[in-house]
Amino acid sequence: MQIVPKKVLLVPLDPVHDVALKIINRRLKERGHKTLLLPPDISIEEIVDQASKVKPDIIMISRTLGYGVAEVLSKLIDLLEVVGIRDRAKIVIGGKAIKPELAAELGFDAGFDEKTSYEETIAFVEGRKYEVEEEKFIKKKKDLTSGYSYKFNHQKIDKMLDEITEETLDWCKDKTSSGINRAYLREKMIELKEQNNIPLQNRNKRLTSLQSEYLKNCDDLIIRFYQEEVLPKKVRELTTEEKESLEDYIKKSKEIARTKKIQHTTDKPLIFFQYGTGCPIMDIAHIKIGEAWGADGVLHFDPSWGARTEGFLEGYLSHEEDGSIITEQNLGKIKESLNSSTLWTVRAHRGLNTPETVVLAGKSGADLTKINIVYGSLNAGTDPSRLTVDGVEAIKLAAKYNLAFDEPTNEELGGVPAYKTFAGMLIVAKLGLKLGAKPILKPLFCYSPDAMITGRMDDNYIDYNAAKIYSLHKIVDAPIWPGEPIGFMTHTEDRIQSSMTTALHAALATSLGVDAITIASSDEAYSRGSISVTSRIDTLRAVQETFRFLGKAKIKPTYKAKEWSNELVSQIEKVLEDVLRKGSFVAALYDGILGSREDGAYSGRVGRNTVFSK
Amino acid sequence: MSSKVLGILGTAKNTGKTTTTSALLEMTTYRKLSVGLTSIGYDGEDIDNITGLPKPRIFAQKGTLIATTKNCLKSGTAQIKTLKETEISTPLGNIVIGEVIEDGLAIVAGPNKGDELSVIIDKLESFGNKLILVDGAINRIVPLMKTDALILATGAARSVSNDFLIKEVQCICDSFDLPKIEKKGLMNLKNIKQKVITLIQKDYSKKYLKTNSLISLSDIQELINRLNKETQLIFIPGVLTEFALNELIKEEAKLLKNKNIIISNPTQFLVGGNTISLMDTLLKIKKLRINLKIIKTIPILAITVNPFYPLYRYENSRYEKGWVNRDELYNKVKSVVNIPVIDIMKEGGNNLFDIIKKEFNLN
Repeated sequence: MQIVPKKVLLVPLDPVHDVALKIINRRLKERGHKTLLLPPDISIEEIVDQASKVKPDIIMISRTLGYGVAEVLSKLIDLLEVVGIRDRAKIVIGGKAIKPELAAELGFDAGFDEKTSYEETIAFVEGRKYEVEEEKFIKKKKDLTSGYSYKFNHQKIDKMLDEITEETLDWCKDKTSSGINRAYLREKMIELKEQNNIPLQNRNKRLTSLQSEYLKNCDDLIIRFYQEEVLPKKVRELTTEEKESLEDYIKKSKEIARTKKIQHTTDKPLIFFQYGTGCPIMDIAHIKIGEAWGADGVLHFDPSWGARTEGFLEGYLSHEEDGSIITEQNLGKIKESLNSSTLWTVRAHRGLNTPETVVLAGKSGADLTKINIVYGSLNAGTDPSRLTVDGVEAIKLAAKYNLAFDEPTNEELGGVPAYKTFAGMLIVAKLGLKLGAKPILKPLFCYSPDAMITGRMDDNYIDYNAAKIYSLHKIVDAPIWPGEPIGFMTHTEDRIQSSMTTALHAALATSLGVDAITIASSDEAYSRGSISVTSRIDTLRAVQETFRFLGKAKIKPTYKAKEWSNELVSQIEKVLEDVLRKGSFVAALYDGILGSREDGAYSGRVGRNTVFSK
Repeated sequence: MSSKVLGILGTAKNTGKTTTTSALLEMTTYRKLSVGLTSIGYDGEDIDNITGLPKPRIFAQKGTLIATTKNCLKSGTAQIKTLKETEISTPLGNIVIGEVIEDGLAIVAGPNKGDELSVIIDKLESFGNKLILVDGAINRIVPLMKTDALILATGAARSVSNDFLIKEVQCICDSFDLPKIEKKGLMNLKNIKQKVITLIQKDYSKKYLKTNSLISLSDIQELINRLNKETQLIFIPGVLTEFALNELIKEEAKLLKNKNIIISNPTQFLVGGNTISLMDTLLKIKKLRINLKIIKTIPILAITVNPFYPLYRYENSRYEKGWVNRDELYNKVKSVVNIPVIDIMKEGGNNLFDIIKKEFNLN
């Protein structure tokens, strides 16, 4: 589009703040416009006098507001109108806290504040429609696994993983559990509800029959809910009024929803956060606000007792404590609220409902799930045999529903050294690949007990975290998503410190080129209750600022990072050799090869002796 | 019957314009009078854009016609059906004419230029409104010259000094009350271009002086050079700033005695000066027996006074609600003007509405 040169009078009515006008002046001149920048702090009569002489097309005035300033600005507009300039020239006010409403009140044609981009002001001068960056920027959902070959660069490790997983799949092939039964019953129930061609009466009859079968595979807590309508403690159903306001909230928040790119000049890492306030309404509020501040994805965080209970509840349920209850209805509403670009993970990895969670995640339209048999068995309390059988089935379901799954290695927080967690993670990744699923590696960026004991982070938090990434690159070409959240155990109660450490770990993640990161809110470690939305915004803003600061520049780790990465690879190799020597992945879990009692790992007891033959 | 248009002119923010408008709106509903409403600013918002203090809301009843922007339609609780869209743009979108179909709060942001206000008034008139209310903005005066009559709203938000307020009120009222030049005295002056000062001599010959729209001191000097004993009338079409006016009467006061100085309307010097010193200048002009006359003016029907003001607290950088003594303010203003003075918050809109009804002959 050809630019029609305009005459622009720039008026710094403010005695000091004229930098913005000087920048606009330069930019307008560069685009061929004729400008006159008046000296600061002149009288309104002088401005009118100059405007009468210059006959500008546009007058841009900058002024910081205070009481009494509105009257001066209105008088200026009156003067410009009475001398006939108002009809000819567009008049704009710019300054801190100037909103369109205030511009309208003062009689101006437009109002720009500190958030207005220079591009917008130039577009206004040139009479072009300005597309707001956020609007111009159409956020698209990204596939974290895209572009990865999953080819192993380390042949020996590849071969060992192959053998271990063959053995594991073979061990699982004739075994099943109530968790697996429920998963397929749940699948049938959902599919039945989706079929509109079956007469209602028949459908209800079949649903009742499936539900009765489902209850045969559940704990008493769940059976009592379905048969006697007794809800577990601290759980209640949303009231009709709450459900209506939830509908309204989703509708309204979608109407005003905007997304923005949090990354500066790079496309990754994508930013995820975990929600799980217990209340689906609050969760949606967190999600919508997170999306507005640039979050790319969210993870559903359920209550810990959910992992220890056989079976799921139903309905729109709220939980008084941390963790939001997984039900078909709760997940459905959360999905409805999500922006089309937001990646959604429903974690399934660690308990008795792992396969059924994958079914619910898949049927609810989730993009990702979370499965790690090793972490679930060693630090999340589930029996290794049960979780291996359920985990393998869950991975098959993840493949069926095209859900990539991430593998958190949070047993490191209990004290298990990183190399053991990595060995376990790689076994599960290999299982995933064999079963047609797409695993995402999730090393921790944390100040772990092992790092403290071995002194690897005495000097800095960079080298050992970098070593973890380098070591994984040496082994396999797979997506990496450090978590969960980054900077774990470096956060304190101080929100500034907490945001800062998250932001610095995000800088390291960017520098290392990882695909995604999960960030905490600034009060996550010490909230003593629900996380606040303002703290959520703290870290999103801090991370955005870090991305702006870092751009494409890199953080340079010391030589230690390479050294430790080599050491990690050898240590992983050794652990896998030990697993092979044991001859059984499940036995290796029980025996502490992938994390021992001395390390701080305890094989779980929940669901012990619940595996049976098919 | 054509519509009558009432403008609510303020001396500053928070002087009671919207409270007055709201009271009149309520009265029109009560007295079953069809009414149209617009604003030359932004009114009806819950929180003041500068002080952060609560603002008076505009409650619009079914049947009221409102000219506001598209964006504002969504912001209020009143259900407003769009009757006509216009091309008049504002920072909040184009202005539309709508009819309230369900009572509720309305946000009103209308045209902020005089000519655009005329267009909106015509459109509201075409829907058959008997009365059109135009809520003012801050202290803006020029667009309101397109109305038929004004209510002047002043109060402590302008100044907590009653002496200041009464002097300003006097200045504004006296300016609007300046004698109008008789038709025969006009001698086609209305057709003379803006930016040309015209001196008419006793023999009816004319001298012209090209100037800027804003009369400068050098323009005044040039005017003085052309002034002589034969000059009978001086027509000044541009904005006569207080400095320029003072310069004129200082230099050639004797020559101007008993002469007519004609200006288009009172805004031409009200916008160019400080009302307090302008009042002194007007008194001086009177004393010098210079006849300052205007071509067009509109009546100020009443003054509303508001004792409220936003009190700035330096210790926390916030505004709080403050009030001056209501009776002192009311009585002082009443003592200097010969038009009705009303405290809307205390009296309601009844008396004010009766004044308007009488002036506009509304039934």
